[in-house]
Amino acid sequence: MSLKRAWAEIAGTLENACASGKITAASLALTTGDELHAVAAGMANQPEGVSATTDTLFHIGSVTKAMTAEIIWNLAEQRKLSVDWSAAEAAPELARISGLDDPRLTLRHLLSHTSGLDSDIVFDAGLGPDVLRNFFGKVDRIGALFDPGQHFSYSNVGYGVLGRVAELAGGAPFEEQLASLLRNQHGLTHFAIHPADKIRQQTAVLFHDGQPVLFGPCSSIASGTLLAMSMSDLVRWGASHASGKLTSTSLMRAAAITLPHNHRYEGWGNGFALMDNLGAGLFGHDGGTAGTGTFLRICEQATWAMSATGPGAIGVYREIEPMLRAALELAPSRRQGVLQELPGPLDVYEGVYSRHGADYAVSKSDDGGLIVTASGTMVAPMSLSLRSLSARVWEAILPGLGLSIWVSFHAFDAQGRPGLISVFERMARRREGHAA
Amino acid sequence: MLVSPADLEERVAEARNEAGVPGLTVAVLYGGHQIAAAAGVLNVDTRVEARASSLFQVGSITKAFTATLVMQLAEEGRLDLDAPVSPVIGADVGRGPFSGVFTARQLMAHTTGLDGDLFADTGRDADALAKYAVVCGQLEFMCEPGQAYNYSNAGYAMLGRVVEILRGASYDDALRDQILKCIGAGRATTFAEAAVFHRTATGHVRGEDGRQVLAPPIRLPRSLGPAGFTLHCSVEDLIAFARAHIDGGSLVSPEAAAEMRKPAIGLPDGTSWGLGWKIIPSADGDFVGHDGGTIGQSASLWMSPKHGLAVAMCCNGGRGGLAWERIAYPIFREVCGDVPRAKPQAHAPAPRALNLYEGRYDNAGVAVRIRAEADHLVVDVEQKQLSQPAMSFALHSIGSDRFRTTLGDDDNVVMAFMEPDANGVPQLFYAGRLHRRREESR
Repeated sequence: MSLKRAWAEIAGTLENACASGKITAASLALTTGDELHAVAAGMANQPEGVSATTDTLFHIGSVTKAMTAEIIWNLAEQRKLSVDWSAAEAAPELARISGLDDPRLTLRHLLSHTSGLDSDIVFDAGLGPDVLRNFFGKVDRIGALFDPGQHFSYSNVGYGVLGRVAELAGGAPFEEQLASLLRNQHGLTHFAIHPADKIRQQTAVLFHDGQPVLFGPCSSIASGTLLAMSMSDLVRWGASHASGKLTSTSLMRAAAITLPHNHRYEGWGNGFALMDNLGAGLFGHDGGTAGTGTFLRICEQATWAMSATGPGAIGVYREIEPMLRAALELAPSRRQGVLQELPGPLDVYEGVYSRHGADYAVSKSDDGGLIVTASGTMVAPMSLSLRSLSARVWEAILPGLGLSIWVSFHAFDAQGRPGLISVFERMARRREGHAA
Repeated sequence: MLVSPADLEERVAEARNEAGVPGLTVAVLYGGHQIAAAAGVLNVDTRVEARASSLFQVGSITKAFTATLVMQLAEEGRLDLDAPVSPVIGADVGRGPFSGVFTARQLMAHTTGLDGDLFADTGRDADALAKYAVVCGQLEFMCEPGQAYNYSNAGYAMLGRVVEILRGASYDDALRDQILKCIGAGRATTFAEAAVFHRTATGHVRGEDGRQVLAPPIRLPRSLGPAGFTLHCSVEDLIAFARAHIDGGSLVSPEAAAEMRKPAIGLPDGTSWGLGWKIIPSADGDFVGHDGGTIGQSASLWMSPKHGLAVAMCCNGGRGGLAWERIAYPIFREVCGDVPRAKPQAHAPAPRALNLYEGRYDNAGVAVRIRAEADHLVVDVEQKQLSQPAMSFALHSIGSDRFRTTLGDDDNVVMAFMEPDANGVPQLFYAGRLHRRREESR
């Protein structure tokens, strides 16, 4: 099917998703190198009756991390830092923070989420350009879940550290460096970081039970809370990394770790997530903030980005991606299946696994599977029924959304007891004294 | 109602076209009833249509809100309007001996003499005003407190700081809890983060081809929030605020509301200033109100308390003054037989030789140069902090060391040369502010 015909079908899918209430607004842009296609649907502001257009800005969440990584690689190219420096070398003021004082922990680990640092530390540290300095000034400890380089665990606070490192090496607030990267280096105009600029350009917003779904906090700017962009501009940014002309690209997408136990990602580079390296060579980043889901995909043949407001964003993207892949005639995924090593007795999995703000209680279910119950301040409370795909990898269906995710266990000891659980790309460590 | 909703809608659309305003909203209160209308767009790029509930930056109209917060504190017995206010602020505001002398009442009426246009950005955090109070230690007094009118943005920021200290809350929270919630202005906000969730206007300026384009993305500092840099609200919110002042009781007592609109100091153009309000005398009851503007937006709120009439307008570019005249003047004329505008005074010879006025006069915000021609003065104005173009215009005498000129749509801009201050330095009163003559070799 030609891209043109597929595009009409895709536009219809987005319209329907908005009309049915799965999502409130969506925007999709795609380029194959020459032309840029863009489509938008739904309401940028539903209670105010403002329609979304292809110029509407959407909060891109963690897709910002790829830009933070680009800033770090650019600073490395200018010899203002080395990615092989330890965090403490790169930012001496952070050496006092327990967890960042490990001399083995390098910027490269932070870029590829292999530092072992806890995922989320969130508190209000103000609204100004000095927010990152204020934030880290108030942090005394960041939990270490494993030794640097041993595993993968998605870390927002790790990208916060990179943001502060960029400020010290680049000599300007992160907000300013991010704006300068997009405006001056990439020539982009349809983006906003400061809230006044989100008024100047229409920004998609979401309401839940009549209340605005707020964005922020500002202290998470480098891991992705503030930046909003049009999908056309996000695709322009992504496409500049498809051409291979930027030095940073090859470094950002070089596989730092493979993730055979993850349902979404084959691996992670030093800035980009690797979705389908073995097949079409897709890489990019996903993001979720302020009730908005964003998906950026880059490969040699094409770059596309979709953003949608509302809890149905992921589900709608899972409908759209196969349509795009078919229309673009991308090579099918050559992703390897899960190794079929059947689990032994289930007692070994039981226990409570923790990271900052999240506890996962694992217990046996009546039907021969496992149940994971999540609780804490940094995680939505939920109960997941796990079905074994292998000893290490288990599948769960997300309640309400009906989407399949994988949960994996790691760091097995001599008795076959896992020391770590990975849920939503984040590790949690077994709490001793809670073994079954 | 003196004008039907449909009529108002039509007048607003016409005024918008004539004045070249991208988006215009108007609300009218009369006989206890309120109507509102809107025309045009909030942003020429996004083309999102303006509604009467749309939020605009209302600029210095915020000063009347700040003054109301202070009046509430006085009524609760927490603040003596006539006691020195620096001890409350806990910082020496302004340089020299006058710092410990001036009062909250003088801040409200702009009679502290405190130089007013210090646009220091002390960040977007909750301590912005506390930090700004420290910066204000460097401000000069243009004259002795209580002697003359000198419009002071810094002074209103200090009133905001007084509110913070006595309420134990940020200015923004105090404004929300003590005023906005009470008048039903639930959407009004001092945070762009919150305004993003509503239909909110963007300011416009004249582009190179003469068309309205988006104003440059400027950052108005939180430090000047109580003076009018941060409040976004709708014309309906402004009318609700006016109604509370006309009726009295909901925000401040009727007596306190009346005290706020009583002349406290006269101005050279025949108008005067009360506690947070500008007052224009009129035979059938004074007009009371405030105008406001930020870069690319302007707003006006005027009322005739005697007649129970109030008109509010917000616009986001173009000739806001002209739009105001077209819409508000017929309404005020019909009800009050007069309009809220200082009466132009006839030209009359100057009492002394024109070259005696020559020289350079300045304050923190601008430098003004005056030179004499055969029968008039020429003024050159340079901005010191804001990146606005320099201006040059002619001044013609209206007698008593006062001169008149035309700026934009206003043909009654009055400048006055004041009596020398305590140090014998002559002063120039221009744009509501005192400017001190600098000694220089001619």
